[in-house]
Amino acid sequence: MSSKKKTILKVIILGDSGVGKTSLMHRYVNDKYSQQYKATIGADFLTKEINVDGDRTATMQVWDTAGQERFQSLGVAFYRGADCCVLVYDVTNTKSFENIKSWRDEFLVHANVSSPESFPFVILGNKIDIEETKKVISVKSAQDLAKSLGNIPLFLTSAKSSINVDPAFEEIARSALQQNQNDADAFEEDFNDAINIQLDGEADSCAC
Amino acid sequence: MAELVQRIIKKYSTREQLIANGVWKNELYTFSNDQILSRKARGWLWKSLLLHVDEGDYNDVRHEDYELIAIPDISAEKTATDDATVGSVSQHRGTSRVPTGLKKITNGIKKLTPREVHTHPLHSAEDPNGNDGDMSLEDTLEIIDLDLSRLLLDEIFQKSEVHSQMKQIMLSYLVLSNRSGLPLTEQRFSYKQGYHEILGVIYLQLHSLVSSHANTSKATLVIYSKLMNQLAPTFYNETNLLNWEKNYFIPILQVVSPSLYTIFYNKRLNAHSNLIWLIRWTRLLFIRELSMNDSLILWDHILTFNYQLKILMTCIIIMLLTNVHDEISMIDSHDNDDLIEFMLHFKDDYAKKKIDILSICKISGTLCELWSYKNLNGMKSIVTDFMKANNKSIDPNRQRIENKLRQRVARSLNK
Repeated sequence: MSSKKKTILKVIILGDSGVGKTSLMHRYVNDKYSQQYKATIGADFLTKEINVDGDRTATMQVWDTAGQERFQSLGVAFYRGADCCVLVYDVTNTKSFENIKSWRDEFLVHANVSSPESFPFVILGNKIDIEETKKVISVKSAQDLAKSLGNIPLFLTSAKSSINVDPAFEEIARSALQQNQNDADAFEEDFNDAINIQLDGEADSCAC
Repeated sequence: MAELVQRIIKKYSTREQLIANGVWKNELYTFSNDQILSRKARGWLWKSLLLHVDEGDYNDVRHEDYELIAIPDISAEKTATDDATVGSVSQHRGTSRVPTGLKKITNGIKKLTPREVHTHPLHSAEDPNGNDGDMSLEDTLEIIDLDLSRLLLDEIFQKSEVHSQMKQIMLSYLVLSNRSGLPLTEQRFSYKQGYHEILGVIYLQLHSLVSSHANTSKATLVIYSKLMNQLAPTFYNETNLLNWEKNYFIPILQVVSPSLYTIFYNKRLNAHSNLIWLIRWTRLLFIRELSMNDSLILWDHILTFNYQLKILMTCIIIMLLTNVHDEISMIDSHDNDDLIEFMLHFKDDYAKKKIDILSICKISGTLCELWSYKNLNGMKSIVTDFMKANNKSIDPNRQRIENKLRQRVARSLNK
């Protein structure tokens, strides 16, 4: 019966304002791109039905967030229940790259994940369609950062030209599904422990 | 426009009459068949409601506090700060807001900390005005530039002179709201995304109305500041937004529409917070949720400031929800993902249902009046009557069951 329950994978996209979070979400979910996206106020999400590893289906909720504001209580509301966090920088913007680590920390502080050390992150270096002379973040720097943050998978993408977006989200889906399964297993384990403790307690009380 | 304004002036001899009868009794909107006021007419209306002045009087002494600040050249500022004095920076800026005591004090000595502080360094309580900003001038100007570059309300915002004008108005507002005597480069700013869209809507109504760029800027700054003085502390400050939901939105919703309250605040496991959608509804005053014409009619009412913004916003939102009560009731109640998605994409669904925005404004005003007298039963009966009149009279429980069945069938067909 539990296998029939709808699996929802919640994916949060974080990063500085203007790096292309909304574009990536729309490219992945609707396969559309527009030059004209308004600033995201708070958060928004789109859903997509996906097949994972051929035989499993799930609903992916892709959460797009505002890049300018650091929310406190609302951050908890946005991030809670996330199965994967996508950190986005713009390959033409140094500051957005330097802020990747602080976005990761921001997420871990507010998301209240069960195992921060194993929680899945994916880094996307977006806007690679832009001419080479304008790129300021080298592939090597990005790889070093991804490695230093715990071998986080890294993809260089372009929402505009639809480069690497689908492969990146396939990886995101796999990581999210794994995390979702881990959380479900942990919950089941805790639930069984609680039942066992209760049964032990009942036996003691009978002996009295 | 001139003919319409003449008719309005002839009909309403005082500003109070214009507000009470023209706006709140909806008389203004009957002047044209399609209820649409032209931009110029609306610009005139807002100017009359908020500036209380006639054309050309924007330099009126009553508005001398609304000073336009020149945009500083950040690169020049940096150089100046590095090797010169505070005085040279403030002179460059050309603002009179810098206290004279801070000018020309260092004579070439590098200034490491400000000489004056305005809050106790160990005092952590938030500014009662909701000013929770912590951005430098450089970061603030950078994000304003980015946001203005993607302000899509109208093509005029792509013009460089309009961009500069908007940037100047925004910075002037931020300096005004800071009420800090510190030089610009030492101030921290509380710019939030969304500020630019509110400014854009006001600018659009005024830019074709007044004779010069300077007058447009000044008039826009005055109206924007008056609106933001209520909007920003309540809805752009996170703590205050949470308190608004807890102290106003939830209690009023619970009283006037128990069925909507149950739908939105049903104690589900892992339910999403309603603030996820409320944040955009409140911060942008409905411009992403409603058509521009409907939003502007709501803004006409808001800008009369007849009622506290936090109460009026609560009542308007409840009325908008009541208008789509049936649609909301039909959303799968198993979890609130679908409900939050519906609210985030309200415009797509709402467009299918014609809304009587004038009735919603009128009833929202009545609810505010009743709230001030604590007439909760009166509020409830008004909302109930509106709901009955605007929704099909099908039992909501039956609708929910039908909807669940429909979704199950759809799911099984998709497998």
